[in-house]
Amino acid sequence: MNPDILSPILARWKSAARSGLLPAFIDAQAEFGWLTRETIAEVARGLNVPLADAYGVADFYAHLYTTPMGKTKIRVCDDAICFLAGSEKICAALETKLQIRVGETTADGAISLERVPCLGQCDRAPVAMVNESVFENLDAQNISALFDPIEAHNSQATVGAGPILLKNISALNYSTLDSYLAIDGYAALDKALEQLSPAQIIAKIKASGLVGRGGAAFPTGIKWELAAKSIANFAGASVIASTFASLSVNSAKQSPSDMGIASSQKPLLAMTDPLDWRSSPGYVVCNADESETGTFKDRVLIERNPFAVIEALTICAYAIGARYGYIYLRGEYPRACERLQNALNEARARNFLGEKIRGTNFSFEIELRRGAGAYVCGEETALFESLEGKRGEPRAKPPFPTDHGLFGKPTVINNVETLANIPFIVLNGASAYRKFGTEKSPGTRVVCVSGAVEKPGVYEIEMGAPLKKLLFETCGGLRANRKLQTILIGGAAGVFLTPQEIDVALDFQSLNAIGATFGSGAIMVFDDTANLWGVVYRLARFFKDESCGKCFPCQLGTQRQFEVIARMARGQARADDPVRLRELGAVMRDASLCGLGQTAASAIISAFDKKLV
Amino acid sequence: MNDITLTIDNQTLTVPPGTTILQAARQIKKEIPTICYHEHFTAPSLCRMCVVEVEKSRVLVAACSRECENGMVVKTDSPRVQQSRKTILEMLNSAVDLSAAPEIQNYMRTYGANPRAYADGKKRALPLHDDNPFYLRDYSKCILCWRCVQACGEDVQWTFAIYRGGRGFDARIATFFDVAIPQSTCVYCGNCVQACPTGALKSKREFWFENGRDLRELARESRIAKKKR
Repeated sequence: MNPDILSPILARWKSAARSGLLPAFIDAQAEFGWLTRETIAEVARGLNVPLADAYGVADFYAHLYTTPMGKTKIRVCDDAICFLAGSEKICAALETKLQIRVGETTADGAISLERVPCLGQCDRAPVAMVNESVFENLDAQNISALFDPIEAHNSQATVGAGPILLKNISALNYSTLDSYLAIDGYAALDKALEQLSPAQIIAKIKASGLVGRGGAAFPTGIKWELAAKSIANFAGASVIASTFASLSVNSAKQSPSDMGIASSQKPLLAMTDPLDWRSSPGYVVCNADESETGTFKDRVLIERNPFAVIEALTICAYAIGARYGYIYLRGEYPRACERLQNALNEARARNFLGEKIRGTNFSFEIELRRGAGAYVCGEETALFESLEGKRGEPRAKPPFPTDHGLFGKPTVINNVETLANIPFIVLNGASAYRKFGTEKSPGTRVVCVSGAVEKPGVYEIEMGAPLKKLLFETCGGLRANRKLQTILIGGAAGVFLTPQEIDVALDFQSLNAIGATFGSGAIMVFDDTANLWGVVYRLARFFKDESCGKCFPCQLGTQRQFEVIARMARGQARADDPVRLRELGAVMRDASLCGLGQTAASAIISAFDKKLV
Repeated sequence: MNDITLTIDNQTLTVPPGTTILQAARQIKKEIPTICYHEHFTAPSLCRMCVVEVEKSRVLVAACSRECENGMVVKTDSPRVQQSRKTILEMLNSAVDLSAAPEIQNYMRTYGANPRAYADGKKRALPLHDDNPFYLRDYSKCILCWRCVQACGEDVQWTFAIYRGGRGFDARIATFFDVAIPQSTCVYCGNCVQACPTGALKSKREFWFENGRDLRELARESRIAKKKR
């Protein structure tokens, strides 16, 4: 190991203390291919993290390697849609070409081959990634394309025009600030800063009826209001706390990550340094860890219009009184990462971010962070843990993030799509927003359709639009005039629908009425040729692989569920297996700590209920 | 702040704010089963044995960490609760060696858990670590309650010799790169051993006594071994 390589990395993340652990590991691994014992120890020392903790963190994330790996990592997606598009053949062709098995590294130590969960490119399956490059529409006959860098990124997702979020997407030069300004970008922030009080903004969001698009459908305005209240309370309390801390010489229990504060003799005023992550009284976080099987709309929203999310986060910070924010982006989205980083830089350079934004007294900074291969980090409290440099293990709720979120402070965490709605609402008002959709489900929904349709892609539909119309008009119906077998709506944590159920309207209430959920907005379409046992097997495997292992029902239940499903898929079902599956499903749904475990049996049980398998 | 009034198993009671459901239930002599919970540690709410049914809650809630709220209606032993506890115990028993965990075995009887359920499922059969003079680590008996990590870290000792590694079913307790205890930052305080509820961590002396060994004989053996070295 060369310390000259590591020291600039440590210098970059030192001020983040323990919360810099994951990005420092990611940077170090990009240099060395994997994380050696010496590298982890060096990073741990540099960021003041106990050695065992640092190792435990590295060992948690699928994309951090503590054993030798090739510098070139080939990741082949093998989830539902890619599986049906032939991912197994891709793996087999690669095994032959590289003379290794999946999970191994070539003899010269250069290339490692892995089978991975959904890469969020399902409209162009099958897909693989080679390091930071995405290769779509792979062909097992032409596997050498994977080794040709020019072939990467060769296609764009099909994106239908929509009324709000996808309105200007075709007009955009993707990601420059000027192109964003040309379509009224940042008009909402200017309006907010010049004409609206924080309370008025929150009132607008509440009146719009916007609810979270990440899956839980919590009212966004109420979330902001709760956080704004806690920040107001917390700010008062923290002044008292910091005064006491500065008075006592032997200040009480300080966690290692707080040592930076404890040891520095900063005057109290420095605590209000606007761009210091520690001093912000609360946080805004964009959850861009889209990892739900069959979901890729957040990726497309970011790639096409990164500024919308940045503007929305800035408005949110102004509304709740936060001065620091994070975007936690899925590790598998290199292009989105690049565009977000560029957009942040441009916004900063032109004073849409940073100190005294647009000449006001409002200062705000956003930091972009990348995940490292953990579906569970899409769960909001696991995401906080991950940002804090810990294993992505969800916390028990309550307390909720609006009271006790990132770094223990009041936090608003919103999904990408939720945030992308904010500029429109602030600019045009709640009633303009409510013109779209239904009374109880106002607005639009961005859905990602994949599988057996003619035109898979990302579409913005009004809430309440019929599923049938989406499939047979917007998406052009089934490929090769095949017959519909089933639809999986909401991702791996969703529910299967039968052909008889596709008359359902796509809004929260109508879906709830038939026991389904919008979830992440994923709609996976399977025709009558699809091997549904293969799909169900992959769902079970996905949850087993992605369980964090914290709570017993999920840690043990996802494993046992996988074992039962694997047996049944092989045609070796036992008499009591159906009963066992129900028991496992019930305990995971009822007793798991977080949403991952609570929904780990949902799609599988629905497949049995509807006699699809 | 005012006191909180709630109903637990049809009994109404009043508790100070900040009281957990588990503590409130104890006041009216309702014992809620727990595994990972330890009075002196931060409740990690992970074993989910203590789940109870709370009216209007979509899922069951962990009594060890959920604070009482005004008007809460709690059922500590409903059929849904019992079913969850039974399945948790069956899954646990199928994965881990519970032979040195009499409390959990008692729970198995109480909840009618079938000791043969999922009998051929994957087990966490991990090798026994005998790498230091003071205690043994038999992780095939480890249920991952996190108590040892809490004792080693922020809840007691602030030594941070062990943490969690892996994830999912393969999560485990690990030192830095799984080094032997003498190579870790362990100070042999023994807090982890005392906190372990399943005998996965055991003092060597205790292990020898249990196996009918005589201390003087052991000392003699060790002197001979030393001379040979």
